[in-house]
Formats: sequence, structure tokens, C-alpha cells
Amino acid sequence: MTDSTAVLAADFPYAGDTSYTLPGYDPLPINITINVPNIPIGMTDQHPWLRRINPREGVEELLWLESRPPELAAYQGRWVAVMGQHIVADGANMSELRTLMAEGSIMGGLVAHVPEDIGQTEYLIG
Amino acid sequence: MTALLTFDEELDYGDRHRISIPIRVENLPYQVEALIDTGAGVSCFDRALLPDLAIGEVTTGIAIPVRSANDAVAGTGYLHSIRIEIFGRDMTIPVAFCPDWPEGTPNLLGMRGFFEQMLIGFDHQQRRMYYSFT
Repeated sequence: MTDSTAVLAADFPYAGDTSYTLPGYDPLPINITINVPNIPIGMTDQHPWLRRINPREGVEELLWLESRPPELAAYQGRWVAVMGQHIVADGANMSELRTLMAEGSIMGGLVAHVPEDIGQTEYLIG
Repeated sequence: MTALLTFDEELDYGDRHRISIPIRVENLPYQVEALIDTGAGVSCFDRALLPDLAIGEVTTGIAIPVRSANDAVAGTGYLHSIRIEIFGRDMTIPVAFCPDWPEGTPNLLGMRGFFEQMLIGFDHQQRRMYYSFT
């Protein structure tokens, strides 16, 4: 059996923490235990991690992003963290956003890249 | 012939010509968007996620050839076994990461592994996705 236990890099922004709770947003601590068990591909873990209370979490944020609200125009080409219908953090790249989220204790929400051509109707092909 | 499929849940995926859902990847404290892509043979995620997944060297995965439908983009992807959570259900699927593709590339949920664990139907006229976990 291959050992796929993940090892966190020293500069991993969430290193040193074991759980997070975002007050007023997600009452269930998110277990971020860093040891990833080796589960064969295609098998469902019989001992799943702590899940969110709301299994539809992220849907509101995604639909809001997909509706291409005018607020997104200021974030073209950037990475954003969205909670509800609000952008709570943004960065020039994923790494910068991740750092900002860690510094601001921003947990939860949806992280996404805003396309450069946000105002155009796009058709993704293959 | 009549084929009757039943599903446990439905989702309004909004007024766009693509279907994406929020997923949580491993134990990361945020969610990301992923496209439901029946045209993808395997799931392929944005390499921007690699640092948070503590995958320092992507080439430690299983190398597979990958290419886009029109051959415009081709290269080598590296399969890693990744845990994801979808609508409260967690599963482990093979995910390819392509180091040569730019950050911001959409996360794709493809056939191998993912669609083997979910039954999904679409009514695009009504913008409804129906799904069950197998």
C-alpha cells in the first residue's frame, strides 16, 4: 500500500491550527487534520471528516457569481472569496488570496477566479 | 424502451449554459467551483489548489496523457487521489493536475471515479440538475 499521507509545507497558511469556526457563519468546526488517510480510488471513506451542517453551502455564492453581478467588474482577472453575496477578500493570485484569508481568519465561503472577460457571454468548449 | 431513473435531490444551477457546483476539496476551509463535465474522461483540477493540498511535487502522481477535445491543449497530467465533499457527501476520486496549464483553469469533474459514484441527470430547459449518490 502506498503511503499518501500528506505533509504540510512549512509555509502552509493554516499550519498549526486544527479546527476553525467562523462566528455567525458556520457553527460547526471544520476539522483540517493534516493526515490524509490512504483511501483507494473510487472508495468512499467510512469515517468521513466533519461535514458542514448545510450540505448546500456554497450554492448561493456560486449562483451569485454565475449571475455575473456588476460588483464583479472590479475583480476581473483576480481571485475572490465570496460569502453570501459579498466578496470578503481578493488577491492577484490564489496564493495571495490564501494568505489574506489566513491573516483575516476568513474561513468558509467559495473561492473562485474571476475571468478577464467577465462582461461577455462565454461558452466553455471541451 | 422505457428507462426510468429516480433521483434523491435536485438543484437549480442558474441561467448559464454550463453546470457547476460548489465542492470542498480535502479538508480545506473553503469551497471551490467545479464543472460537471461528462466530456472529461477524468477529473482535472486547477493547479492553484496544489499548495493547499500539501502536494509539493505534482509529478509524484501517476502520469497520464491529457488533451482538450480539439487538441489545442495537450500535455501530461498527474493523477492524485483526492477527497472531495459534494452536497454533504464525501468521496475519493482520481484527480489530474496539469502543471503546464495556467492557474485559474476550471476544475472539471469527469467520468472516471466521479461519475462512477454519482447518478446525475439534467433538464437544461428548466436549468435543473438531478442527482443521487450511488
